[in-house]
Amino acid sequence: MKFRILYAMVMVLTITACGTTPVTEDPAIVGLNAQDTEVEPLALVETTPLMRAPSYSSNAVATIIVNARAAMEKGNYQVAAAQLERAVRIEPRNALLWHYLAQVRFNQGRYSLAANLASKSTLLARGDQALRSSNATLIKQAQAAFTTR
Amino acid sequence: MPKSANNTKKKSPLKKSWRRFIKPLFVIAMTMIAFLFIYTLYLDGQIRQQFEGKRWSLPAKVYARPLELYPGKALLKNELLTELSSLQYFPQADASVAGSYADMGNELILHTRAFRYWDGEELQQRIQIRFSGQHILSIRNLTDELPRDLIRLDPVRIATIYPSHKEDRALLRLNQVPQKLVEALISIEDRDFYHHHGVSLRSIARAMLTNLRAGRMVQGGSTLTQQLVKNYFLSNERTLSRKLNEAIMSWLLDFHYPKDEILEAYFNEIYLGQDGSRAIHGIGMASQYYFGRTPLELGLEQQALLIAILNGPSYYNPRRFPERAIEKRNLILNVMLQHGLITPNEAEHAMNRPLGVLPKPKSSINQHPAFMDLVRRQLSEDYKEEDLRTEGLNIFTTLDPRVQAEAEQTVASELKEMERYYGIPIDTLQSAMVVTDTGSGEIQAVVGGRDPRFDGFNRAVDAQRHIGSLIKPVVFLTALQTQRYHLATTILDEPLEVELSAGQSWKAENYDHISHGEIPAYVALVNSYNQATLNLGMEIGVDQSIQTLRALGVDRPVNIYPSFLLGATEMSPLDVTQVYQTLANGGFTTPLRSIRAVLDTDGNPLQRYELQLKQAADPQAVYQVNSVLNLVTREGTARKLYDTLPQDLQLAGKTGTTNDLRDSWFAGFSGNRLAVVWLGRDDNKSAGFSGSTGAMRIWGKLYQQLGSESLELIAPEGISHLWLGRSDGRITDADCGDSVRLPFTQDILAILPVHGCETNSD
Repeated sequence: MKFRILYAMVMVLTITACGTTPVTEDPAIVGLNAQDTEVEPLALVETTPLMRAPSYSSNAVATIIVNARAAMEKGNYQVAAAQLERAVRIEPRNALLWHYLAQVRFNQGRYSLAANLASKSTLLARGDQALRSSNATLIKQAQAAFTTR
Repeated sequence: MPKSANNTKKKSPLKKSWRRFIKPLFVIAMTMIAFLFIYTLYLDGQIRQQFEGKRWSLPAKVYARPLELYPGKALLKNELLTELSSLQYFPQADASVAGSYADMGNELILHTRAFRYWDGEELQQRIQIRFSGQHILSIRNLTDELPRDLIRLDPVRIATIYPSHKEDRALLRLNQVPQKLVEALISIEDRDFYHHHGVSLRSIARAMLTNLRAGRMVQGGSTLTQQLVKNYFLSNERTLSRKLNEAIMSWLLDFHYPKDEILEAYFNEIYLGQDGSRAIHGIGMASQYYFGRTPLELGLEQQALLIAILNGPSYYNPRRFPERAIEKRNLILNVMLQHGLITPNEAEHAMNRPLGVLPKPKSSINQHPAFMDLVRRQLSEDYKEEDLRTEGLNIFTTLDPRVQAEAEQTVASELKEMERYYGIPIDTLQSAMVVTDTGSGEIQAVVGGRDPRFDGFNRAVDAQRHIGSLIKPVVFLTALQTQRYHLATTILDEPLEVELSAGQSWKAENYDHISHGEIPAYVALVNSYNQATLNLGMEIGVDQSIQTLRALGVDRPVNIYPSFLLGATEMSPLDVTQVYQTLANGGFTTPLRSIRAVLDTDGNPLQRYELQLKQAADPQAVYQVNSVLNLVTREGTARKLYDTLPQDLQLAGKTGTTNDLRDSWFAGFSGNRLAVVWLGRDDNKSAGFSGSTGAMRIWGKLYQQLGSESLELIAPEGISHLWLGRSDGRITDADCGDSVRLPFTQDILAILPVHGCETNSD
């Protein structure tokens, strides 16, 4: 129990720290930031293009993370997980979201799922060493919790 | 006294006989009263039971995924307009009412509807959406002038799970009915509603007088309470006993329940139209069905039209008989004017308005039976059939209406075109398709056959066919996972005879009947060589490949003989989708889902179907397989995809063909979407198509129609890319010309000789 509370604290800190890292590193979206609402809209493409640019989510995912964090602080893991899954649908390749989802599941005591989610996060994390090591820590703790349970 | 006694005695014959009767009569009368009393008690019990319990059996409503809107979303304005049309949003110059929009070129003013979701309520708001190229550029709320990060539209209803009678309604409270509508209804239908006791002798008398004057039935004397009783408890027969029942029950209802509760029930019960076999009941559902709005958002003329319709839902059907309906509506408006409910100005304005009825929506009974079939299988594990039909559950599915529509259309039109082009008898080809979102494992579309409305044999789930070469990535994945093989390992493409358990032997041949000798492993997968795959699979053991298939998410029984290695095992398109979903997901298996959540009738969450995830295969091995599946589309059996798709679009895929061209398969994925297509005949005769000439053509067309995101494979840690010379088979650390870039694990590279280009001339 003590351990769970300790972990929750660490996790809240991590989320707060990670919250400031860029949500996406896709070079294709540089310059297409949502704040640039003054940019003159381009002409609309009327027919469906054969190749579609992926969605980029500026603030949508950030907003969801804020909501998920609020839900988690209240111990409402179900809602936090639902929110994060919604974010994953928007940005399935955002490694951070998978990590947060892993944290929620860890807090629920669903260690096996948590470890798998963290592995997925690592697969998507590419060069983000900080995130990789957070995932590694979580996986190690999940395995320990799983075996001592 | 004696005299009188005498007198009496004189009259006695008559009086006596009267007396003889009085007792039995009294008994009969008492019996009748007692009977009536008991009968009334019985009716009372019935009424109270019905009225106090669950008043209506509410069908389960099944919804598509809601469309999420946010700056940066890849969405064309046309696609949003299509969604809005499915949702019965209507154009309106200033979009002042929820459910309306104004199209202004590169931007759209949208007035969204409120909706209760699993994780909370989405409020109605008036927003401005600006588009730029393929994306939403910005979203701004027009009330507070602030930007919005994320908005969810209400979801399209795709199906309804009905009780036997197929009544559809959206329940309301009385305060959700416009006051004018309430007043108008009472003044027209039942002036004394607040004063009578369920039955009104005055209105019966008034009606009789009116009818006598007119010489025919023009007015009914029924109170609203009686109309409710008639609709709610009784059949439509016109007999005296029914009239009596109606009167007693109306009186009882009035005795037990407040007037407003009766009125509320009336507004929810009343029959207002027919949509195929679906009966529209209640003001709430009727407002949606005719106007795409909630009752409180109805204009005066629309409220009057609803009263007109309830007078004869088929006779005054505004979609079929607009003139008749408008005439009756104006009559109602006139009566409202006479009763002082509206001003002459209001009346005139409303009478000059058009009907304001939307085009008939697509039937929401069951638009996509193949997808619904999957949903119902999932639901039946968690819910009783009875509850699904009556509890008013809200079921949120993963269906993407645009993808589903394109998938259905593509299958139907391509099969028709192929039959025409190749002179194949009409309607003999069949096909099935499953489309998923690779990231979440959510099923976006299911096509169960060429007729998308056919609610029968669902080939996507129930057709079990040999999968042919679709099994090959599983065999190669198995080999790579042993770490004894890499993509450049030399394997033998030569005839191989395999002993079967029955003492028989079996010899596999290549599709082109040519043996290619010693080749690098990747070449065998790119070109789908049977002999090389069989050799490789036999080296590692059939069991090993079966185990891999199991890990990837298939649990049905499989063929355990060597022919398994060439796909001589039966699977459904859905099974295949699960396998390729795991590949597309980097080796993580996610059970495919068609449902996100179930809410009860009041919007309280009952159950959520969560995202499950399990690492099923080594990500390094999966990455190597996926890299080859990418090469399949570039230089292998699927290269013809680029006849129609743009060169810079990256894809991964695999063709599959079975003996005598019985089955034609294609499984492939782009950056965001996976689709598996099967094509063949129901009688299992030769359809005449290979994987690339049949199923792949449908797949390519679908991806063309939807527009695809490019695939970007993320290399796991410990993977390096090197070049393999096509002619000399040397592995080099740079592109030395005529070579192919392949991924290797660092463990393999530690024991492989890697050359530089300068040594190339040796």
